[in-house]
Amino acid sequence: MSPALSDSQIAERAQSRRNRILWVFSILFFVWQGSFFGGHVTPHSPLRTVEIVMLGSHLLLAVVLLVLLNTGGGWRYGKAVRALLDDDSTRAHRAQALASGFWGLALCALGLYAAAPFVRIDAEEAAHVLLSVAVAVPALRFVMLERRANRG
Amino acid sequence: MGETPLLNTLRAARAAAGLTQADLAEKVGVTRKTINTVENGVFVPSTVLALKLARALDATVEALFQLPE
Repeated sequence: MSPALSDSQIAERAQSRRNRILWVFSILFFVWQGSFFGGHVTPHSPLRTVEIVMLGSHLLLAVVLLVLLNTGGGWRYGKAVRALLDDDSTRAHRAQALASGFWGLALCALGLYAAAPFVRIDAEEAAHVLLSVAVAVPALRFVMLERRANRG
Repeated sequence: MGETPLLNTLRAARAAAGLTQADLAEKVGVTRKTINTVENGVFVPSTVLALKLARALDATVEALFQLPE
């Protein structure tokens, strides 16, 4: 029988798992939005069922990633482990990651604004691009900071 | 304006107390990662965390953290 893990050990493992989930799902999220543009055959027609499902899943994943990033995760653990998962350095990394997300979003909005006179961009396409940047940039930046902090 | 660097003697104080990063982390209620970032000067701890670290290591905050001359 293995000895019971302490809260710190549980938090350490949950932290690694959170980083892996954020990393993999952020990449998946970003790649997925590319397929949305590629798969949208007739842009101004009503959405097909497959497109509604794709869009719904994409939005759900966006919400999950944002909630995971902003709460620190570990919802199935007790208060003590959740507090460790959201300790001082984690909060500092989150603040830095959200600041990066803000700048990514601002630059992306500027790019869309500059491209608007030359390329027709629908509101839903612009929202899609902006949401993707708003979710993926802070999530990836957060993982990067957390991984760097874990190195000895 | 850049952040003022903060020097620290946390690693030496921790080693002198015979504690690992994980031990100290457990004593002050943070993860090992936070202790690691403080020791490496990557993360400037809050006043509360600095006080907790000082208490855990039986030292003063000034002995653990210093501003550069």
